Amino acid sequence: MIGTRRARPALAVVIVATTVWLPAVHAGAGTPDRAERLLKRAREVSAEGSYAGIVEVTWRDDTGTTQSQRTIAQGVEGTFVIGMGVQSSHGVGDERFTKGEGDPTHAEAGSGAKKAPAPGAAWELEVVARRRVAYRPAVVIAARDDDGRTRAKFAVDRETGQLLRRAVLNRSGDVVRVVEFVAINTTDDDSPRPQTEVAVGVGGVGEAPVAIDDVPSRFTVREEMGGYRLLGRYQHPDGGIQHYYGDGLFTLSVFQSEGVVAWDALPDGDPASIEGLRSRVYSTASGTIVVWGQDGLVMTVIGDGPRDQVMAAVADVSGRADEGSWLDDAVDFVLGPFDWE
Amino acid sequence: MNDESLLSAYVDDELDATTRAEVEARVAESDELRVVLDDVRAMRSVVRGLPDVTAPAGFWERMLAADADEVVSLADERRRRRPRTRWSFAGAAAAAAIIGVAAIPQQEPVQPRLATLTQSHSDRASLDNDVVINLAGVVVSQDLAP
Repeated sequence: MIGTRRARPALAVVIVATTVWLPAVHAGAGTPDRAERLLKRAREVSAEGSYAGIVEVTWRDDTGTTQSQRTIAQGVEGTFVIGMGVQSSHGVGDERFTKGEGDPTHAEAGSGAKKAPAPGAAWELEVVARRRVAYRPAVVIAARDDDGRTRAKFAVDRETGQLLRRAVLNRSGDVVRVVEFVAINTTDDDSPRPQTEVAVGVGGVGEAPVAIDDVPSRFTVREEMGGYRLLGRYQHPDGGIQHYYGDGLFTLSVFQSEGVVAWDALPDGDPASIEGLRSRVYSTASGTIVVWGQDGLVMTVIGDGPRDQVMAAVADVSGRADEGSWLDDAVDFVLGPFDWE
Repeated sequence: MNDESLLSAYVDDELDATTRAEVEARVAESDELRVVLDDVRAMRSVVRGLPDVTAPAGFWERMLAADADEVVSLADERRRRRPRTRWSFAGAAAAAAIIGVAAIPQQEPVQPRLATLTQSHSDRASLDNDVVINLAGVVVSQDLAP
């Protein structure tokens, strides 16, 4: 009896604890850990998985017009082709080749690159919804900045782990750029590998940029800018230098070459001023591009994150981070009914 | 930026329209700034007229490693030597250009190849991030080609 009486409070504790713990476990479905795991898994699937689908890229250009274009993507265990013909990217293992509007480009993973930060290093991640994307069951992950504003949403296939959609939002919460599968089939690893048109050393593919440890001091830029961390420096065959950064979700490159900007030879873009330095900003399918000249160097920053974060990095690179309010004028431009949940 | 840097950026057409107009207004009002602007232009002209010379190995590193005490303020020097300005400066500029031309990069107009740079960035990003999401943008038309 005594034992029974003693057991009652213990049982009550167990019941109370279970009552509190179970909902906590359920709520844990939306925790940062799960969101981070899903995004990490999505990267692996993207690089090594087998799939074939149609991808749509939607973005708002410099005139405020919404552009949308579709292309195809096919991958089998680390060999992939995205796009078609003269505009296509090819990957085999740790090598990439791209033929697009520019000259053919080539990149290798190399041993000099640092590991990218974890997705949650600079962002607060949370699983916020379930929905169907490209006819697939998906979970939606929101990435919030330090101010609690949602700046990106990711839809991950619940069955395959494939990243199906990425949407980038501006500070007002409007979607400004989306890359998404509109149809996708998961294929067997036994499927024929996609025919990569370009192989190493042939097909007009030039040398890959070479990883370098140091640069002359006039080319030096900060190793950390906001949440971005320097992951590698590369010398390009034309002599230009690339500083490559990542923050766990987005990436950014600072390209530098000697000279002054030939403004008349550049596309129109969006004229801007970085505290007195003439610059031009482009909103493209790949992200935000900023060009300016400074101290005898032509500077080009390319980033796929939210535009204001790219501009904040530009402020750091140019040394204008603490000087003014130009960022507020430059970041949020034309908005429109271009939305995605 | 100090006045020399500002005028240098002005000569190189690196200023936005507003700042450019401000500089022009200041130059119009200041004899001293006009002299500095003439000096900057003269230096550019001398340097551009000289042939390319490759800097010896380690030149930049040696120059940048030099003791900071040895750095001379051109502005201070200019004020101190004002009475002998034009010929002495022109001579010094020519001498400096001849002796140190290798250290002064040719300020050639450069067109950043935006499409190629974007591809390079996306190639790199796709190596440690999502392949499809990072590369789909560069295989659609973006009108970045020259």
